Formats: sequence, structure tokens, C-alpha cells
Amino acid sequence: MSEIYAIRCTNCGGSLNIRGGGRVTTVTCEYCSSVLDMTAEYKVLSQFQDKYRPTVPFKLGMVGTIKGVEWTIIGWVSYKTTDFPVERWSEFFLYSPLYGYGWLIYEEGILSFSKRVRDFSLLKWQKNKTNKMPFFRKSHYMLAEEPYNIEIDFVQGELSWVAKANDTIRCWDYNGPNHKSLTVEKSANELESYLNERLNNKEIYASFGVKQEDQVEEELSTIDSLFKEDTLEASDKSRKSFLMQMAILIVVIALTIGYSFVSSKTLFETDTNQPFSQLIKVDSSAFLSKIVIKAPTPAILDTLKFGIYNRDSYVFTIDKNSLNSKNGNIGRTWDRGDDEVTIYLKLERGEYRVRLNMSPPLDAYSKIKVVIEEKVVRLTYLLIVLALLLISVALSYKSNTPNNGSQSKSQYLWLFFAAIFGYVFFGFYILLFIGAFYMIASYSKDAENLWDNDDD
Amino acid sequence: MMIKIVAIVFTILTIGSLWLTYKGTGLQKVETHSTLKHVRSIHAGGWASSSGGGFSSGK
Repeated sequence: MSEIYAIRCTNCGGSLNIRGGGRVTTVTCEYCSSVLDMTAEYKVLSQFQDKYRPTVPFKLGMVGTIKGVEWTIIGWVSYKTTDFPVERWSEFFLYSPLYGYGWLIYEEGILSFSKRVRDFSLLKWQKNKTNKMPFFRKSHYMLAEEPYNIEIDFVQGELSWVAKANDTIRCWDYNGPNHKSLTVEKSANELESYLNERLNNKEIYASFGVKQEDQVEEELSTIDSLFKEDTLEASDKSRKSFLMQMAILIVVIALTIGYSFVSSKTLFETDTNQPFSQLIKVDSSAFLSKIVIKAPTPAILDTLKFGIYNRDSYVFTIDKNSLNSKNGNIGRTWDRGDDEVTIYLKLERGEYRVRLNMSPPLDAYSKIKVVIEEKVVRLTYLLIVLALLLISVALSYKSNTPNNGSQSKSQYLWLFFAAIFGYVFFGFYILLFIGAFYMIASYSKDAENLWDNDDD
Repeated sequence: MMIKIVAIVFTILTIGSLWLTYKGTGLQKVETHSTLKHVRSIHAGGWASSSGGGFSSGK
């Protein structure tokens, strides 16, 4: 907390507390509104009598913490725009013995913290004032509105400059990321730039000890509330809720991907050189059925005619010349030179007859492999959606990562990706393990049966 | 508001894609494969990538 000493107003004799540091040059009497020059024996420089005194939740001498630093309110300036519609707001001059000076800006329930920045190139800005998107601290800022003029409406307490009632300041406001904005202020003698950041009202009111009845929240009309940006709290909440929803969706997709490794069931498998007609039973209408026909040479594949039939008629037939499907157009038959064909087909639950014919018959050494599986999950859509989800989560993190580079947030991002990939691969290995277990179990069962048969 | 719309769109996309995957809509397909062409392409790639060129009949 800053040290306090008291003086008497040279105009009215009222007691004035001085709290600011060495850069304070004027103090405005809260009784007679005289601006006293602290560098010249408190000579009266100007007066703000008969000026409109705004109603605000803060007063001089209040102490609170903003962004981890303790500040004391030592001055108060109220501004108004010179053009219609007239807008008013208050800026409270803050002092910290360790961190210098800053501003707490209050406008109709909206609170922001503002600090002068010296690393914004005003020289460059002056040369290119028409640039509506200046670049500052690794971020683009966009001109929020046309430049406007403001004048001082009311002053109280200490300031580091001389406030005069008729001084006009021209302002350029640029909106940036993460509720930040950049303001360039040009007065008769100075050109300064300030970085502003929206604050959480509840935290600031609580920290400065503003009574509940004095706390003012932003009031929005119904129309405004539809189009207005979310408050800090609401946007943080919605961001968390967004990430939570995205995480749930990603987990759902990852689970489906994991399921796809174990979902399929082989209905029929053969390695033959003879035509066959086989009854198969599809137990589930879920997902797709997959039929793989593999011939030793393209010439042998060209001799085949394969078909799936239900009670009434064909469902699917294919040979070297044609492809017929009851399910509509699903592609075309194989080309010359192909020796393998994979068919993904939607087969409803029920019994089907599978036929393979060949003309001319094959020799004894040429085998055709036919495998039919059901509940085969094709991941085309899900992989696209997963990619989009991951991109949106990455973008969401990127846009909310502070520009000064918060390491913890980027760590969270990488951990998040690692968790997703870890989950997918770890889940995949678990499924492999389960698959291997079932395979070993079925082999041992076969072996047992074999032993039993031998016993017989 | 925007973030909510994006979340809703993604939820619809995910549910929709799960449903389409389950029903197999638009996923029926015939894929063909040629071992011979594949072998040829491997040989072509091997020849092209070998330094100094030379004869590589693939025999």
C-alpha cells in the first residue's frame, strides 16, 4: 500500500490526502474542484466547478488487487465524447509503489485495466494511420470504430498531468484477442498508447471492497444481449463447456474407432477351386458386410461370377462384365489385371445364399479365397469429423492462449493431444490383446475338440 | 454465442456420421486390387529411385 500524507487545499482549505508516487504532478480538491500544481507550491491551475459528477462504485483511497498487483486509487477522471451520442466513462488513476501507474476504467458496469505501453511503435503508427489492423505483441488489432474526440468532464484526486476542462483528446480504439484492446490517444502535447484488458467485475468489486448495493453490472437490452460479446465469466464458462463437449464427442468417436477393430464377425470363409452355393446367416443389420474375393491371377478372376441372393431374387452379382446391386449404384466391376475385389455391402439381418461359379473350371492348384464378414465398420465419416474436431479444439486453444505465451496452456494442449492419441492407441492394443486372447481361446477349444475326437 | 453454434454443429455432425456409419449409408463400395500392378509399381519406384539408373528388368 502507498504512503499517505495530508495537505490543505490552497483555494478552499479542505484537507487533501496525497497517496501517489513521484510522478504525480497535480491534485484536484474534492471540495472545490481546484486543480493544484504539486510542483509549484500547490498553485491553482484550473477549476472543474459546476461539472457533472458521475455516480461510480469506486472512490479515492480504495485499495484492491488487479492481475495479482495491489493498486490504490489515487485519482479519478471522467471523460465524455464530444460528438453525439454523448458517452461518458470514468478512469481511476491507480498507483502501486512497485509497479507504477495504471488505470481502472469503468463504463456502465464494464471494468477494464489499462496501462501505458511503450513498445507499440507510435512513429510507425503515425506514418500509417490508415492502417486499420496494427500488429502488436504477436497479435493483430482491428480498428473498432472511427477515431473520436473526448474531453475531460470531471476530475478528482491526483494525476501525473495537468487536467484542463477544455482539452480535447483524439482516440483510436483497436480491438484485439482475449478481450484486449489498444488505444492511441493524441492530445495537444502528447501521443500515447494504452493496452486495455477486460476485467472480471465480481473479482474487482470484491477486491476493492465495493459494497453489494454499489456494484453495477452491465445492462443490455434484449437486442443487445443477442449480439453483444459474452462477458468474461460467461465466455470462460462457454469455452470450458465447448471443450468438454468436444472431448465427449472425440471420446465417442475414439470408442467407435476402437469398436471397429473387434466388431466384425466372419460368416463364411473358403479357399476353393470348385463352384459353391452356401447359405449364410447375417445376424445384425448394423454397419456393413464385407466380401473379399481373391484369385491367384487376373485371368482366373475374370472366369468368376459371384452372387448373393435372398429368397426372392438377387441382392448383388458381379462378374468381369457387369455389377448388379439391389442397393443402387455402389461402383463398377473389376478391370483387366485386377486379381482381388472387396465389396462393402449393406445386408439386412436374414438368410442369404452365396454362389460362386467359374467358367471354365479351375485346375486343382488354383484356389479362390472368399471371405464374408458382417458388422464391418467403415470409418470414412468418423475420421473426417474427428479431424475437424481436433482442428477446432486446437484453434480454440490457440485463440485463447495468451500472447505472452503461457507455457501451462500449451502444455495442456499437447497433453490433450497425447491423451487422445494415447487413448486411441492404448485402446487399440487392449483390443488387440482381447482379440489375441479370443484367438488363443478358440484354438485351445479346437485343440480340446481334437483331443476329444481322438479319444472317441 | 458463436462457440455454442460450433458445438451444436459438431454434435450434429458426430451424431449424423455415427448414424450414417451404423446404417452404412454412402459407404457401400466395390474396391479392386491388382497384385501385378502393385508389383509393377514397386519395381518402377525401385528403378527410379536407384542412383545412376541402369538396367532393372524386374526379373
